[in-house]
Amino acid sequence: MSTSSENSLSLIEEYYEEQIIRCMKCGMCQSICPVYYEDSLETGCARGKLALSEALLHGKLEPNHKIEMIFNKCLLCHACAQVCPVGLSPDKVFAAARAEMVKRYDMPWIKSLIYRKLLGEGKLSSLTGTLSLANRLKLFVLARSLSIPKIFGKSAIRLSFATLPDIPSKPFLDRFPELLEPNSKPIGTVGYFVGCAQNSVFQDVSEASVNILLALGYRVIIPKDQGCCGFPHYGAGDFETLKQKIIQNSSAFKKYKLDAIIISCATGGSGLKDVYPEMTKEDNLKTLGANVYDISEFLALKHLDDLKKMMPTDKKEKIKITYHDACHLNRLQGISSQPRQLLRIMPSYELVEMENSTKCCGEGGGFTFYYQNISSSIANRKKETIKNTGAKVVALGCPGCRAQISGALKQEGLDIDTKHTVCLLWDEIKKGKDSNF
Amino acid sequence: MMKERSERYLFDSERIENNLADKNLPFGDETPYSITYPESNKDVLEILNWANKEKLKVIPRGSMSSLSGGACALSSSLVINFSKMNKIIEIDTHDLVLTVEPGAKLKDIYFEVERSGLYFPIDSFSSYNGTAGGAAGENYQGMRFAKYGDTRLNTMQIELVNPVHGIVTLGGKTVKNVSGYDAKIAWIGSEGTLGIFTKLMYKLMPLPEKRTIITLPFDSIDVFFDFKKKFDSLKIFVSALDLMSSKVASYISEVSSKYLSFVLIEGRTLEVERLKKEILKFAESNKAQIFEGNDFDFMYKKRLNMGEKTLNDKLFADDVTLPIKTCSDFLKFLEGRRYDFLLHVQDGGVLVFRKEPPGKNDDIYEKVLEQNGSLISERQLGIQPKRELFLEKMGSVYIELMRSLKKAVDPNFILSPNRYIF
Repeated sequence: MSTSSENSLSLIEEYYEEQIIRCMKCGMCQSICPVYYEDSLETGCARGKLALSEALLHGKLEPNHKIEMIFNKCLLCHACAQVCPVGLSPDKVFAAARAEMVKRYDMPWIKSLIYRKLLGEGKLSSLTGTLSLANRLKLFVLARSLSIPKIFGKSAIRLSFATLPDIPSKPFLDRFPELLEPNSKPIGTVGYFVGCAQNSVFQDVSEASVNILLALGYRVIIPKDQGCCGFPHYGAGDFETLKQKIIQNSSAFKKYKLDAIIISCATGGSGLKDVYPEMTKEDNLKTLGANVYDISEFLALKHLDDLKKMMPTDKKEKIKITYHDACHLNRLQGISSQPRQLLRIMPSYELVEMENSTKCCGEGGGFTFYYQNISSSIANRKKETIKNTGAKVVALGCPGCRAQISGALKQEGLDIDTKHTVCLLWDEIKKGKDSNF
Repeated sequence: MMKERSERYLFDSERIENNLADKNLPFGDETPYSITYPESNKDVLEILNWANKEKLKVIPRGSMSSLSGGACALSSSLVINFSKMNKIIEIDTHDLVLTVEPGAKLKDIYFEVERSGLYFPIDSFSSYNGTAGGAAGENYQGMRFAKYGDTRLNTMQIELVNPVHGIVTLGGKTVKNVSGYDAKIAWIGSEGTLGIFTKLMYKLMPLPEKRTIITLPFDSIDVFFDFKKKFDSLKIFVSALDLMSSKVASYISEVSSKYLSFVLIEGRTLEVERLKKEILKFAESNKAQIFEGNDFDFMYKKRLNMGEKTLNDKLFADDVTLPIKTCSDFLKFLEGRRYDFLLHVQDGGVLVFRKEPPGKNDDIYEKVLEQNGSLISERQLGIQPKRELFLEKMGSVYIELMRSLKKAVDPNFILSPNRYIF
C-alpha cells in the first residue's frame, strides 16, 4: 500500500499529478457533467476543478474551505472520465483532493460521526441500530417536517429517509448465519459482501441475493467480520479509514476458499473492483482471495438459462418496468446489459427504456447534503424521464440511487415502485412453478 | 466600485479555475481580473456599460473550446462567461429557424433539432463542446462547408450588445429579406471585437433521410486526385470529402495505407445509394469500408472527436486554404516537411498538424501565399502568431477601414482586445 509523505499535497501528487498536468482543458467534461448542467459554473465540471488542482500543486493558490467545498461539488459519477479524450479520471483526482482537505482540516463532527463511527466500525450494528431506532421514533419524519436545513434541507433523499421501509433492529449480518448450504449438492462456494445499506436499510436486497444464490445451488459464506466497503470514506476523503476497511475486508474474505465474491451494491462493487486495486496496487485475487462480481453480472453471465427455467409460466398482463443505470454500476463496472438481460426474462414485466438512463440521479454520497438544490434538480430530471416511460417500477442496482429516486418520486406522490433487480428476480422465482425452492 | 458589484463579479478562486489556456496554443494562459456570468441581454448591457466607463477590457466566453485563443483571458480583462445563457429558445418547424442563447451547447442543439426531424449543419473541430455564440463569433464550419456553407451563411438574425448602441438586432427571421446592408454578416466571425451576441437565429433544414460514411484507402496523392477527377464528373457536392495522412486517419480507423479518404454522404436514400455506388466504382478499391446505422453514429462521433485526439498527441493544428487545383502540390510540400494533414477536398481547406507551432514567417505561409491561398481556413486569427503576417498582407487601407468600423461601435477598444487585427 502506498504511503503519504509529509508534503501538504502529497495525496494528489502521489496519485494524480500526472493526470492534472495532462488535462488539455478541452471542456469535453463540461458537455457531459450533470453538476455543470445545473449550475453552469466552471467549478461544476472537471476542467475547472483540475485548473484549481493545478494551481494548488504549483502554489498559485492556498487551500481553503471554499476550495474544499468546490472539490465536494462532484458526484464522482465518472461521466467526465468516460468522454475525456486524454483518458483521465478526474473524479479520482477530486477524491484525493478531498483527502488532502481532510488531512488539513479534519472532518466536521457530523461527518466524523457518520464515516468513522457508524460506517467505520466493524459489524455496522450501530448504523443499523441508529437508523432503526430513528425510523421507529419517526425522527426522520420529524426532521422532515421541521425541515432541519443543515441535515436534510430540500434534498430528495430527505423525503426518502422520511419514508424509509421498516428497518429491522438487527443488521442482516446478525440475522443470517455465516455459512448457508443449498438444498442440493453445492455447485460452488461464493462469498457474499453485504455492504452498509443492505446490511441495515435495504435488507430485502441481501435476502434476495443470498436466496437466489442458494436456489442456484451455491454454498454461500457471509463473513461476519466484514465491514463497510470503504467507498463512502474514499468519496469523503477519509483515506485512513478506507485503508482500514481494505485490511478488514481482506482478512474477512481471504480466510475462505471462494470461487467468487458476490456483491449487490453498485457502490460497494466499485469500491472493491476499482478503488481497492487503485489503493493497494494489487488485484482482487490477491487482496480479497477471489474475483468480485456484481450480482446481476454474475447471474447473467453464468446462470441466465437456469434462471429462465425458474420463471413463472402463467401469463398475466405485463407491468411496465424501466431501468436506471447507476453510475457506479454502468460506468465504473461496465455493467449495463446484464441487469437488462435479467429483467427481460421476467415474464411479469415489460422493459421500457427511459431517456438518458445512464445520467446520474444526483445522489453522490455526501453531495446530496452539501449541494441539496443541485442534487434535487438532477433527481427531478431523472423523475421526469421515469414518468415519461409510463413504468410502474424502476429497477436499479444501487442503494444510493434507490433512496434518491424513490425520494424524488414520493415527493410528487407518484405510484412508482423503486426496486433492486434481484428483488424483482427473487419475487419471480418465488412465483415460478419450476423453482427449486 | 468592484466591491459594490461583488455578487455579479467573481474575484476569488473562480478566477483561477477560469485560467484556461487555449488547448491548441502554447501561450495565452492568463488568469483574468474577474469573471461574470450574465443571465440576460440586460445583464450584458449593464456589464458593458460599466466596463466601458471603467475602460476595462472584456472577453466573451462560451465553453472555451476554441483553437485559436479567441476566448483566452488577459490578466487585465473581465471574462463574460455565457454558460448561464444556454437556452434553446425555439425550434420553429414551420419557418425552419432555430433561436438560441449564445451559451447553448452545439451538442444539445444537434440533439433537440434532430429530435424535431430537422438538421443543423454547422460543425467544427470542437463542435461536440462548442456553443452557439462561439459558432457565430468564430464563424464555425468544419468538414461540411462546401455543401452547407459556414455559420455566416446559416445565420438569419443576431441580437448583440455594444457599448455605443446598446442592444441591437440585425437581420430577420424571414428568408427573403433583401433591402439594405446585410450588416449581420460583418459581425459573424468578428471574434467578439464588434459586439457581444445575446441571441442568435440560425437556419435549419430537413433531416437527411440517410447518412453514410465511406472510407477509402490510398497509397499515393496522385492516385487520390485521379479519383477526385472522376468524382468531379458527378458535378455534386457530398457533405464531406476529406483526405488525411495515415497518422491523422489512425484516430478514426485502423490504417494500413499511406492516406485515407473520408466521404460523408447525406440525403434521400436513393440519392445516397446512387452516389455510394459511383464512388466505390471510381475508387476501384476493394478495401473501402461503409458505415451506416449504428456504425455510422460510432464513426461520425470518432470523426468529430478527432481534433481532441490530435491535441492529445500534442500536435499543433494550423489551418490554411489553397485553391483546389494546387492542393496536390501543397500536400506533397507538407509531406516533404513530414507534417501530417487533413484536406477538405471540396473547399481546399487544409489542417496542418505538426509538433511545433509555426512562427510568423513559417515557410508554409510563404507557400500558401505563393499559390494564392489564404492564411486562414475555418478558424479565426484569434491570438495566433500569423496575425502579424495577415496584417502585413491586408495592408493599411483594409486596416483603416476595419478600425473605422470598430471605432463606431467600440470607441474605447474594450471588446476582445488583441484579437483579429486590433
